[in-house]
Amino acid sequence: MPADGTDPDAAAAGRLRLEINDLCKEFYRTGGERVRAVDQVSVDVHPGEILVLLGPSGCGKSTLLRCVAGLEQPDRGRMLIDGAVVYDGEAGTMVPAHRRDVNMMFQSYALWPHMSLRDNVAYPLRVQGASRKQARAKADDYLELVGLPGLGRQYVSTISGGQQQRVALARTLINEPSVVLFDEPLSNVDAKVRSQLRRELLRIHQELGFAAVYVTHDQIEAMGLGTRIAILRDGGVEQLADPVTIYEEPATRQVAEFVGEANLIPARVTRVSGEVAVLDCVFGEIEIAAARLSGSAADGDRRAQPAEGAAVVLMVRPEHCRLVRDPAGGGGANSWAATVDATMYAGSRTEYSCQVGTGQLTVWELATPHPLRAGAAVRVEIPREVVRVVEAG
Amino acid sequence: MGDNRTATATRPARPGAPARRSGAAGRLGRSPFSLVTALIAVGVLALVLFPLGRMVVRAFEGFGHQRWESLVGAPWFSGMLRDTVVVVGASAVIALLVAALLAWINERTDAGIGMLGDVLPLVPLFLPTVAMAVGWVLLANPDVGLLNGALGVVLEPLGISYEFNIFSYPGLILVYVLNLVPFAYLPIAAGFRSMDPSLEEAARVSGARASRVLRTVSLPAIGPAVLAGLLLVMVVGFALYSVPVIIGTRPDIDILAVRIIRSIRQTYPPAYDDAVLLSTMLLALLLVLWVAQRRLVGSGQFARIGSRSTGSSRIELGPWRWPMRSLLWLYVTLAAVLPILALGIVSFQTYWQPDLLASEWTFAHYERILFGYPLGQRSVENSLFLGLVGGGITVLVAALVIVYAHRRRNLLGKVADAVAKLPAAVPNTVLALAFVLALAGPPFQLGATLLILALAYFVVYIPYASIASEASVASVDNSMEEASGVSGAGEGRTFARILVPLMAPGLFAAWALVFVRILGDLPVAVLLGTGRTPVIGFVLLDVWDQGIFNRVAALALVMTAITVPVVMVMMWLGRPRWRRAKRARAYRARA
Repeated sequence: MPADGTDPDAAAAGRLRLEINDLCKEFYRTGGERVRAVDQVSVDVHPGEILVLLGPSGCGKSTLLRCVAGLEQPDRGRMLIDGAVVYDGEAGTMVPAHRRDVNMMFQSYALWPHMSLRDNVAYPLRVQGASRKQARAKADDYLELVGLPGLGRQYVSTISGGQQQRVALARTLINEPSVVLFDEPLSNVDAKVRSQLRRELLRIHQELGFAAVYVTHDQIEAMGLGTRIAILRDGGVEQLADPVTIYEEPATRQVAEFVGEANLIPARVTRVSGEVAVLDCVFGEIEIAAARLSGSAADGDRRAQPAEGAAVVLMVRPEHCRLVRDPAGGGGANSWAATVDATMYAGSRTEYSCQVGTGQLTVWELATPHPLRAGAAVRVEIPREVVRVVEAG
Repeated sequence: MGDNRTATATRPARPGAPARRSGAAGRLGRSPFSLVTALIAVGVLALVLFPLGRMVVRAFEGFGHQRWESLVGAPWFSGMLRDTVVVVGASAVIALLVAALLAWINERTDAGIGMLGDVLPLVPLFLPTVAMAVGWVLLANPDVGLLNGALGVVLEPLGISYEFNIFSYPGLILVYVLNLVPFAYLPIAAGFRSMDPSLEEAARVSGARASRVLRTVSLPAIGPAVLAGLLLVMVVGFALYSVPVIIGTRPDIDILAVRIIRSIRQTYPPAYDDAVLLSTMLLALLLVLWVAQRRLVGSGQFARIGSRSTGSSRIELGPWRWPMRSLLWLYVTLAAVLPILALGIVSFQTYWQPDLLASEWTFAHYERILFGYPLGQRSVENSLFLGLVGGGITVLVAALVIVYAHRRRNLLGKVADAVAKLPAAVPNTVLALAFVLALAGPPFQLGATLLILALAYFVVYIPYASIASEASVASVDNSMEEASGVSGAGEGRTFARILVPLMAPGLFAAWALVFVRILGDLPVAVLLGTGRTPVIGFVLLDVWDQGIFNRVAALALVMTAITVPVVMVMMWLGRPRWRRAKRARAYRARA
């Protein structure tokens, strides 16, 4: 199968698989309170791309996905799947789910217990009018693709949860939809099976090259699977970027807090001299790259550089901080004496909570055979280039 | 980012796309399937509301005031009201206590006997009511009753003289209670089942003794279910016709439902006015009870099959375990085994007598009923046809309407949903009368046709089918339908290939229930059946009026004998082969 998915037409190969423009969806809680589950969301999905919608529960990511599937009717906005309008609030267009070129994998798998696995997988083809024989043959191929050869005659009740997931995946992919939708499909199995299925999914994606929207609240899943990640918060898109940018250059403090661990340090700009800006924070003086003050490089919207005296919030990942065991050593810029408050040994790393000046700093030390005890006197250092500005006055 | 996107958004659909991708844009819910369903819903609406509406209008038209006064002033009126309230009220309360006890044994103690225990209290639902009533007449008739014969053998040597007399208030109430228990059992058992056992455990580890746990935690928790059961039993009790017409007539216990039919059937010229006014009264009373019931029950009271509490959390009864367990069997013995046994014995006796050793045995009554009596065979054929075909259509239509209402929470959906359940509050006596008045004469001229019987049965039993369908739909996860939708299947296909197979256990059970009820029906049969369109109930009451008990027994047993295999076949067809998996997934989804 070609890498661009289902369409051999060269002109269509580059076309966006999914376009969402200013989509809104509101709910009324019992009691009349209005909740914006999806708030003016605009995203699109390129051929062969997995777009991950990541956010805490209640951020509207599942509602957005169900709007794309046609299972929920949005209130405003516009949606195109493979160039065809499927929803247009102004024109009153709403294409029902079964006429949209999508398929969806459900959190509960939603396999039909009264059909054999093969008939479950063959169903989307049978709906399209394929003969029973053809559909079953192709279903067997897809069951093999997901690693379940020869199980076609079994029923849902006789297979394990992990196997059910694979069957659901086969059923979702078999009619080669323009966009494949995933609604937290890995959340119902234990961690081991989950990471295994994640790798399987990547392999199958490489093989088939489908475009997908993938909803999850698990950041490891999001980082591992996403071509791009959209961070959703209160129904709106907080940041849309590739995984590395999301982690390394979070656009807002909420993104920084939600993805990974983050030290957030309120600070005040003291002076800017050339490439280096000096700020004042609870630890004392801190130096950062001056360019950071005007927004991250990957982020399109550059802020105006904050004036001297302006309040900002700095962000440092704990694994980027360094812990120096000799309290007298080191010195120079961004190096402070500190005390270890608490130590948590986590195998591959040790997490220290340190008291620095009047502030707290979390530092991760990777691969440490001899973790320090609480109370140890140390120095902590923050390299200038790892400091990000996530909020500027 | 939105602005530069609008240019691309206006591009037309890809021309070469396959049919389902072309995006035949339409508004939600204009598929042919939902159109047909909406039409059917409107049809059901008309069929339920038109006859009842005609009847109520008739009750209040003209100088209605005077007619009401003459009805209330009639010499029999106050006695009838007293008898009805006493019998139905007492039966309802006793049935509720019995049902609560049985439900408690089955659901909360170690005397429960699993699936069988779930089924036993419901057995009478699947037997014709009239067969049970006739059976009890044969058992406890003074002098010739079979039980009295057996009792005499035991008591006479002791010098005690005692006889059961079914033709009395206690006798009538006994048979009412046996009939009403299943209706109270269902909501109460569901209440016990849906109660989280950890509530009781929390009370126990807090130091409360078993009796205190029952008083302070268990009973309050199922309070709403008990109230719902009481109201349901009252509704069914007021509507019950077969029992009082068979048992209450001889001791002159005057019951409202019987009075309605009597004022048409045994009065010349038929006193339609009295029947209409009495029906309207009954209707108003039951509507009040029905509304109260729906208010109190709310949703979520019906626990799903299979979600029973584990044995460990059940109350241990110790030495009381076997006596309690035998109560379950006692109920089934009284409600099903003994009456059917009596029917069997008497139908084969040449003359009805309690002394089995001195009896002569014969097949003559069966021959006479089925082959000698011109209407016998035709009535069996008609009833079978109405029960199987009419019942099947009723269940399918109910499933359609309920699925539609469940999916589309629009006005028509809500109205259709309510209307499909409304006749539950309308006694079949009243519905039959309304059908006679509205459809038998011009302009419809449906009198003396099988169609009017089929339509009446449809309206009478669609609530049973609706309630069963609703429970079935609720037990099918929404994602089952949605997965079919995103796979490209339209609503019709989803209904036929996904929903109906998954709902099959509930639908077949509903079909079996409706079949039994149609076969054993009396009031509709009596008012709408004719010599040209006889049904079993019509013939049975005819033979009953002739006073030949052996033949009544034979016919009642034929009725029962037909229902048992049909019910078993339907249950077998609807057996859920995948239940284990469904439950496992439900647990996962919760976790």
